[in-house]
Amino acid sequence: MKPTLKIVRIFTAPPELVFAVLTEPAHLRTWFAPEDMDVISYEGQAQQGENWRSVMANKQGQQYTSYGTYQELDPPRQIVMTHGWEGDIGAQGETVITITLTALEGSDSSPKTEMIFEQTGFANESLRDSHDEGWSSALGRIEGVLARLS
Amino acid sequence: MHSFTALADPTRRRIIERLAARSPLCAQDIGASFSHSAPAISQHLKILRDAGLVRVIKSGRQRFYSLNPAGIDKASCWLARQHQLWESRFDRMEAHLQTLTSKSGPMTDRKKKPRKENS
Repeated sequence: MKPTLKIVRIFTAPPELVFAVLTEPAHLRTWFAPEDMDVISYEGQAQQGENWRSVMANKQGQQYTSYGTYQELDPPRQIVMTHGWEGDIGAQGETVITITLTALEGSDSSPKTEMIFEQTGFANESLRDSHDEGWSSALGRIEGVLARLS
Repeated sequence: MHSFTALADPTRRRIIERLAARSPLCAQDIGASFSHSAPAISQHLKILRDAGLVRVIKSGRQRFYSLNPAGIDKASCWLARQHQLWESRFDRMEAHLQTLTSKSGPMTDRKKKPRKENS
């Protein structure tokens, strides 16, 4: 298993709508939990420096809370935010998420948007600014080494 | 310190890579490939140890460092779970987008805000 936290999706919708669905609490409350869970809440205005917080629950009622801070917003092109978990599952610390939207060539009746999601770093300015490769690729290589050893 | 926070530092990632290539190594051997001072290397090793990524074996007055596979496994499992979570979230987001775009019909009027219909 090689960890990768880059996800690319193409949506049949214009970037403006995709951006709204990614940032507006009313939209986020419909999708910001995996399919086997319910979104209990999503609070937070998508503005630079503002915090967001979301609670989701599984079918047994167990709740999980994620939170973060919006770092950069460039509608309808880019969202940079931190993402962490409260409680035990938060033991890996906060990551930084960058979502980039690009309008694709398409007909007027079915505009398309490419979304690139990257969970690449930490709430750490020097890391984000450096051109050094990220920890996920370092982990990937280390796993390769471990796999050869075992 | 959290394992990913520990890995956020490029020097510590290089230490991990060095230990992945060859271990166990003593702090001096590890430090030999860096321009950092011995206390700085020792501090990085302490952080990696506290994060569970590196373990230490004492032999007399010497300390030997090697990777801790359990710690690295835990970090990559967590990474895989995060990936799964986001894929599943985006599946739902895509379904939600579909309801928005089909409700408003062909998107001929871009100024129309379909989200209002759903909130």
